Amino acid sequence: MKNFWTTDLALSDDILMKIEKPERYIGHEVNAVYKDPNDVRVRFVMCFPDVYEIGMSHLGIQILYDMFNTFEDVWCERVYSPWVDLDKIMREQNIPLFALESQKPIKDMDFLGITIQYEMCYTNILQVLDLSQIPLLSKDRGEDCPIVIGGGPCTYNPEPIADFFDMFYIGEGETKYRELMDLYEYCKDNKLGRREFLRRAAKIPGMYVPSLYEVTYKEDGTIKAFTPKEDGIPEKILKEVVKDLSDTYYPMKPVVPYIKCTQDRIVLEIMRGCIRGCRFCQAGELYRPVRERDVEVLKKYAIEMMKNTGHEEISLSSLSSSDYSALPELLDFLMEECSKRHVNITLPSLRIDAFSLDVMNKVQDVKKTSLTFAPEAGTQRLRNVINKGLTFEDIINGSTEAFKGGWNKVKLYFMLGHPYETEDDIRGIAELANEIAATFFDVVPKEKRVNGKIQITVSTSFFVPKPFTAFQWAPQCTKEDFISKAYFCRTAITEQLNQKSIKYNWHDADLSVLEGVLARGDRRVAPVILDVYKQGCFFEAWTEYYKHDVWIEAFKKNGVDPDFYTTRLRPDDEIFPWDFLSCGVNKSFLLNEWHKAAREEITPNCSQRCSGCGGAQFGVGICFA
Amino acid sequence: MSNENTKTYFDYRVRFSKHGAIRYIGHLDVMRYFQKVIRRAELDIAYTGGYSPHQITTFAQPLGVGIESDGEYMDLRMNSYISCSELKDLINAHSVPEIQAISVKKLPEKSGNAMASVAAAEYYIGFKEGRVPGCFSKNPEEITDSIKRFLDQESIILVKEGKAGLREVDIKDRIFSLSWDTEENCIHAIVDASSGYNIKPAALIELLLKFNADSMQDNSLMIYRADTYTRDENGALISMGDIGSDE
Repeated sequence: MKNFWTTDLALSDDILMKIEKPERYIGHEVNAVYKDPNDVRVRFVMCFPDVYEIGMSHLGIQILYDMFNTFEDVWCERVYSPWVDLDKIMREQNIPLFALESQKPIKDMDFLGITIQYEMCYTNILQVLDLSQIPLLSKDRGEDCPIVIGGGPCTYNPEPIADFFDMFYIGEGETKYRELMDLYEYCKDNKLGRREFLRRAAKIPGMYVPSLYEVTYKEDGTIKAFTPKEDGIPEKILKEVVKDLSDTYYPMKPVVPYIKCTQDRIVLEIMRGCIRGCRFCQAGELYRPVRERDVEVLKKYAIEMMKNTGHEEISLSSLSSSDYSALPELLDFLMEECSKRHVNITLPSLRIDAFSLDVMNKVQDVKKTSLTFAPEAGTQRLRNVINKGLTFEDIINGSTEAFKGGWNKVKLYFMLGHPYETEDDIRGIAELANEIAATFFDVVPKEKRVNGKIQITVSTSFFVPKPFTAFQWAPQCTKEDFISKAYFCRTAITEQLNQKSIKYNWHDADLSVLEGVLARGDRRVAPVILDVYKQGCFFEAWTEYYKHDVWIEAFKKNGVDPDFYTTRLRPDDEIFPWDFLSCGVNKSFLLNEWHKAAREEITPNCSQRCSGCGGAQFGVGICFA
Repeated sequence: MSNENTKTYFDYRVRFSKHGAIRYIGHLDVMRYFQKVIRRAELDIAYTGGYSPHQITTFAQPLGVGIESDGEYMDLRMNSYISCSELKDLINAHSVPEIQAISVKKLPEKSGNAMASVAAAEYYIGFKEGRVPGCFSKNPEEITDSIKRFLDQESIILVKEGKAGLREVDIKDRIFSLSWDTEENCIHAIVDASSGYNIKPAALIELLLKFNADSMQDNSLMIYRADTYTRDENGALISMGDIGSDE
């Protein structure tokens, strides 16, 4: 049958017709990059270790995919975690995991780059390696294996997964990959071998090769020393930073999936970093200093990307979009251009004030959307502890304006389990929600209320202390504490006058405990992760696949006490597993912040006054504005 | 609404293909795909009114996942005139090689919409290597003869699964053509594809095999839709792509 094309797909028609959403595995998307393998010298596969629809929504991979493919000598392809149905078939039939573009096995490539965005994907990393038929442990890999390199926020404590990686790239990917590719080609040409390549790579700024470092422990289980095994290997690794965000790589032609993804839209990254310095927030420290992208550049990107993708939606991305200095100008421009093209604008969560309400009113259907506040803590006292600069007045004034404008849905986000939290603070969550409801009934006359109601949704997550934050010394709550806090919060809400208007959701406590172990764990946690994976666990970010009992078993079997990593108050002078890395923010600054938290003292944000965190050493951004 | 009634629109019919790896993309995703092609090509497409306006497009009979085709149709409503060849070129410049516009026609003012006017579909159906059932392993004369006997039955009963459960329908009069193509070594069929009476090619083959006391192996068919048909004023089947002009 000449009209029925043969395909070059790695999976047979029988498999593709049997599995869920075969579109996840066929590549061929608009803007996917195809190169002739004979024309390139390095084959790089970029992996997001979760299902396609999640991985394809990630901006970072799109940026690096675009960057690598501008290198003439490199072909960068993509791979995601095969869903459980295909995973099973690949194991049964011994099919090696393949890259989407060439459909060729990953084990034959030069690099497998894995972005690590959240702790709960650690077992998925092992799934990807295993299906690729690459040894799970770096030490077992031979000359024929790709170099497995990790990047992304979780690499700021890479230790629990250090055994699985040949190297990590610490910091922003735009800066050092060219140098690394050149080194790789040089080593390949001169047949220097994998070991020598890694040794030389470790001397490039931002590169961490775990096998070249040794950890020793004290009797109490804390770290005694972390030292390079060889001369010339740096003791401390400083993250990489893009100096000029307006003059770097940006994916003007992002890959457009066929299947509906989590982010089925254009993402415009307007700035990196955040001025706010909330003491619980890791991203706020990791991406310092704040750097803005020029508004004229962003306008050009927006138009270009609308033409190249055909997406019907565009969204702005940053940690705190309200702080972008040219936000009004950018939004005015987008509103005009987007309405011409029938493209919708989705707004990031903006600080609720007259300006943002006006914008929201213009681009969204007020009846459908809700206001979002993230006070994170229920009382001003605790908000001072966590340095969250959102006040009661901000929330009530913002709500008042919004209710006048027709909004009647409010979402409130909090965390339970902050350091120094008391029952009063939890009760404060309920009282704040009640106060917002009361404001609604005050502001909106009965005849104007839609269905006579206000809907307030209170969501609490459990606080997990993260490396490179002021709270990295803090004890995490036990599971029992978490649950009793959630019950206390629920009870407090039901005691409120307007309780019927308030809906309460809370997160899973087991997952938060485990996330805590992985976030602040060390190299001794790796065998636990390996064991859990070998028990058949992955896709654990998907609650239905998370098996708590298996983790508990694996901790016991490997003699690892999860409480050591979570509930312990760390002394000021403890050496942390991640101390050999630097995100630019000094440990002394963070320690001072930890002490200020105890005194309920706030620290001004970067636009108000420099607090000397150390970020200025990069010589760019707000530090020099 | 009054505005819409007085405004002049230009309606076009695009015949397009779906081949290779893209045969695994479902119908809804193909529709979403074309919305993006239209935006990339910056076509002056008409939008519906209301709070969330959407492009005015209509698709003919959805194609099952795994089936290839050169006979897919999409009607577009444009705000302004564009020549058929320019429209075709614009679509193809912004589409993948596996999905290409084959022809574009400008529709006369009152032609039914693409979906409602579908009458029949033409298929070539082959068996995959190693999965040819016994009754199709014979010589062409014998196969042709068995198809003839199949068609000569008093009735051909297809059990369809509908909303109200299983129901039996006689499809004898809705198989417009069924034969063995000796050149391509596969079955050629033209069957009813009208809304509500659509005959799926795999279901037809299953009946044919059952008639020959044979059974179908899992995923053994290669199915290619050659074209989709509508009826002219005399009731004769004509290609949906023959409606309209090339101007």
